[in-house]
Amino acid sequence: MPARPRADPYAGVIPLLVLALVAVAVLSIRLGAVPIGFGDMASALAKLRTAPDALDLTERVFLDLRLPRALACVLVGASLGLGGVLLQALFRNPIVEPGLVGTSSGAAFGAALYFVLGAALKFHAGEWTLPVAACLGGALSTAAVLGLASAAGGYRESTTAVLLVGIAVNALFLSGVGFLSYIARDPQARSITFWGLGTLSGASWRAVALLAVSTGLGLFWSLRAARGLNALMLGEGEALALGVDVKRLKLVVIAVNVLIVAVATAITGIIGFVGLIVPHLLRLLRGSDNRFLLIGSALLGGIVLTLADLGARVLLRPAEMPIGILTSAVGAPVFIALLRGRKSRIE
Amino acid sequence: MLIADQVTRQVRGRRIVDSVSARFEPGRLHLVVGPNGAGKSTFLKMLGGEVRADSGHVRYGEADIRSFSWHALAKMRAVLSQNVEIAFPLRVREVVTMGRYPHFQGRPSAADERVCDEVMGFFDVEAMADRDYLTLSGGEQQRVHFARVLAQVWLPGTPRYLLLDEPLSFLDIHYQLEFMRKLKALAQREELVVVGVVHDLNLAARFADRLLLLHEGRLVAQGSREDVLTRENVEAVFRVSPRLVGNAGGPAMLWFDEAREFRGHHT
Repeated sequence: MPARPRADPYAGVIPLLVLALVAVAVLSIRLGAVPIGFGDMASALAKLRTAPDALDLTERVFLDLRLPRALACVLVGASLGLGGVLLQALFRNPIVEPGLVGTSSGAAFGAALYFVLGAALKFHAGEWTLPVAACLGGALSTAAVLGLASAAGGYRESTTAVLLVGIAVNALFLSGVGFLSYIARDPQARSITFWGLGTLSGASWRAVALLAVSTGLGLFWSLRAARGLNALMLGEGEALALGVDVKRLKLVVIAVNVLIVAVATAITGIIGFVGLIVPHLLRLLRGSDNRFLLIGSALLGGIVLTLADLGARVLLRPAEMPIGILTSAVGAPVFIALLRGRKSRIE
Repeated sequence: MLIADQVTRQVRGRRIVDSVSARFEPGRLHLVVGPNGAGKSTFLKMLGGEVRADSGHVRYGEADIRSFSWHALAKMRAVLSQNVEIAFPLRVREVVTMGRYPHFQGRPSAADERVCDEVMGFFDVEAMADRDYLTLSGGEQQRVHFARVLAQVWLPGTPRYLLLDEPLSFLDIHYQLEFMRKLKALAQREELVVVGVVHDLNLAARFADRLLLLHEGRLVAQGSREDVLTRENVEAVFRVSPRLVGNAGGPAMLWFDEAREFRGHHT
């Protein structure tokens, strides 16, 4: 029997997303309080080699602010998209967020501790103190979720225990954040609130370098886990029967998720809904193969976050809105619309 | 040859499977029967490796199951579980292709694609190849999983093993008979070692080359249907009285009446 030629249902989406990402990133670089033309970009890049001292104000804005910020948007968006795919696949549940295993609430708690008690602590790491505190908080809360979940038996699949313990630990750490804001002085409380809403305004070149490492590693390890995650869609027993070392797979997926989400959250604060909606949207449009979803969600996450950041900078110009307000305000209705029209379009 | 040697599984002090020994031979259809809670599924999971024996050994040929990696095991034995729930939209072809995962890296080869086409044809699901699995009926979904599981052990090579936990539960009578007939023919032709758990004693009696009767974790009887489905065994284990009913032109079959001494428990 001759093999029928069959169309790859996933074909064409990835190149389209790459083009869109580049277009959106360039647009985001150009627009803002100071408009930047292609000429400014070209001359800035040229001068960087030959005469770095001769850069004018516009060129400096491009090199020191807009470009790292655009790259940070792409990388943070990619991290959130990847984290969403990883946890949704791990929990076999399409409405799971990357923060579910406690990473982002723990990071928020670490950050709040820094804002309120930071001055009293002996520990200082300069501009990195806040990200380090957030990362530690994220890692701590995730470890708490996993440790407590492994002690809670009685569920058919251990992921159910992680899910339930995650909800409880999230509530615990958020109440900790609430308590810290309550005892904080006004400016500190304001910092906690702002951080909880997310912003890309702290995007430096060093942050971009750190994000590039975490996101790059995250993408690499996620793609290696993609086939195992596909098999896991059938259930843990089926994945084992198909030769997947499920225990190891879970460990890798959670470790990767903690790495990318903790680093992204530490640098930008909490940004909701991106990790939830992006994989969901791609899945409804084309299907659930995780190899496609991981790459696609990294790209679409970057696009969505870049657009959101553009909106956050431009809508209330010259002031800047926390990006989390925008992603949640737009994300929530989009998500509800997706749920209402929840009919797969893969046929 | 698949061998269970005195395998035991305990959960909280209770022996779910209690030193069961059996040999499963290539080319023959072995069906495990028993009432609810007899330990059939756990026994099958021990054969497949998902559940480890607390004592005793499972051997594939000469080698203990613990000497195989998950991947090595998956290349030669396939498992159909009782209940597969998928939460994501997937095409039927994608589900079936997962059966070939142990055999390819990256993208499926032309041979893998051909296997998928053949098994989908074999189980009558090729017309649904591009449909969303989630839109199928229970019976259709089950046939898709037959195709997936068979795809895993379709090509000859090493000895191949097929473990099926209640494969018939969502099928109508036509597909139940057809599946058992195809399975038996396939086992003979391809020298597959097949072990299945079924609930319907009539189907079990009709198709099994060898029956195993489990009760409270123990192997009560094994052998031909005449050896296993005796009146005494059926009454003792299933708490019903069998009656052989034959009608002109139709097949003889077992009818079951609730055994008198147990009737009071249910009213």
